[in-house]
Amino acid sequence: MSGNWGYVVAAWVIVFGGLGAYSIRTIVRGRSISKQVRPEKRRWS
Amino acid sequence: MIHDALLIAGKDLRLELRSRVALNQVLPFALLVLVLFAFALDPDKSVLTEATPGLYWIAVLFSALLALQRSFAIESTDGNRDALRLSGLDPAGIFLGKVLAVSVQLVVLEALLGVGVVVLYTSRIDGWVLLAVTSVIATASIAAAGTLYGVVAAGLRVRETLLPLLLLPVLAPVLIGSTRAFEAALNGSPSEGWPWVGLMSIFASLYVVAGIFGFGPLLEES
Amino acid sequence: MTTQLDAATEGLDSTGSRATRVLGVLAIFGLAALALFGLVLSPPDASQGEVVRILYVHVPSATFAYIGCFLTTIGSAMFLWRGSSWWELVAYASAEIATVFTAIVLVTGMIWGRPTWGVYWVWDARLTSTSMLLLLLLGYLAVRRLPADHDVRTKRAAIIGLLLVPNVIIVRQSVQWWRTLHQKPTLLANGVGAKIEGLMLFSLFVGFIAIGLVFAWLLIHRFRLAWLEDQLDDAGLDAAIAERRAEGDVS
Repeated sequence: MSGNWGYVVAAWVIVFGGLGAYSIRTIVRGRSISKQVRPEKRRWS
Repeated sequence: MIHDALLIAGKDLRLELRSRVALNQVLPFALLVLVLFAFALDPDKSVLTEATPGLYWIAVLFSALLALQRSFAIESTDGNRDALRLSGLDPAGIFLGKVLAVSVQLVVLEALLGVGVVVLYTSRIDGWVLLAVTSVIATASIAAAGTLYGVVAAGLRVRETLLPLLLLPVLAPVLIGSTRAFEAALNGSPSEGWPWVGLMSIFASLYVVAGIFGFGPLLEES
Repeated sequence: MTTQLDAATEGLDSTGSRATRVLGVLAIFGLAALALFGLVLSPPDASQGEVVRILYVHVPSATFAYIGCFLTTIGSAMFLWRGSSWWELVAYASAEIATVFTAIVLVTGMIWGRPTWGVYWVWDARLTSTSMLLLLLLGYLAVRRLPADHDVRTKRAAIIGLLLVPNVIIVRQSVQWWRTLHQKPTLLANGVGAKIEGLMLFSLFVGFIAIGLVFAWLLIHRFRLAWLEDQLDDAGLDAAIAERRAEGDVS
């Protein structure tokens, strides 16, 4: 039974890691592009 | 619309009759694929005969890609695309004409390829009705989806690499369906094949409708 | 009004806002709760053992991957029908997120399959059609990101986006027939469809909420990023002016 925990951990790491990495990439790109666009073009915040 | 379709189909087919690109290049390519399969799979074992339907349709798919590239290459030279757009022809008609021309070329290619399979793989042919209907429906599916995705990729620098990426996953159901239907026909149990013909008919109608409505905006934009 | 907006956005060059920050905190709490219930509190399954815990993240991811595909098709349709660029951005943003989710679903599905079926990959209807879905999404993204005129790539991508869901349905149908006509679907008997109850069901429910919050948070951020990319694209000149003005402010 204990061997199967390896699969569980691997799957959860992929889900959390994958979503985390994608989130960070989106945020970082958002920050760098935000700087190039005039603030009044950003209709949020 | 029908008149425009026939006009475009006639133009494309006349062009093919004069240039013979499909006949002199696409057909030999398709036969070459059949020979390559024989090299890859041992022809002395029964693998080749058992896999004939699948190999046949793979060869058709790859040849169809070439035929489609050709069908849009003839429009991209000398500003033909603009001429087509300004000609006042119904976009739906242009779409149907292209589909028709590609279908006619593919049907001829499939017939010759079928002879090639029988000769090279010594396959036994059975269930003619199912084979013929499957070929027609599958060809219409490939031509309709291929023409729609062909115009999506047309005129771009990456069109040669883009079209297979877009088209082949979309045509997966057609490959599965036509192969299963052919297997059913060759195994002498055609009743198993007809549901696949139905599925491919839905596929073909979906893409004909999508093409009729989608071709206008796609031609307009570029 | 505009000065108020300017004041609010000053020194805040990001795709974030109050709403996304609240959503983000909720998502993190949701994921923590999911880890607590999915990994600690819920019991192992009678037949699957600990492996069932993979499903608490796998199944919600699959659901939201499908929701992303629906949004892509709806957004593409609205763009083609009404010319709404807002919907076009929704389509693009959800397609990219759906791609990430689909990749996650495939990998976790394979990891789940290894102890359950003994192999990473079987030509199971669900696995196969999901892999085709990933390829379809990659095709959409390839067109949407073409180095071409903005009008060209949005309109062409929208045609592909419009056909995405019909394609997925036909692919699923064909693959299902293909697999079930020739062999009995025994593999699915102890699969995702098996019934669950109690704490396990609740863990799955927490999974849906947590992954759903992450999806919504990502969608808003990705939508704003796509909007910014379009702004840069459309008005390269505007951006250049803004940049110069920003430089002036600093010095």
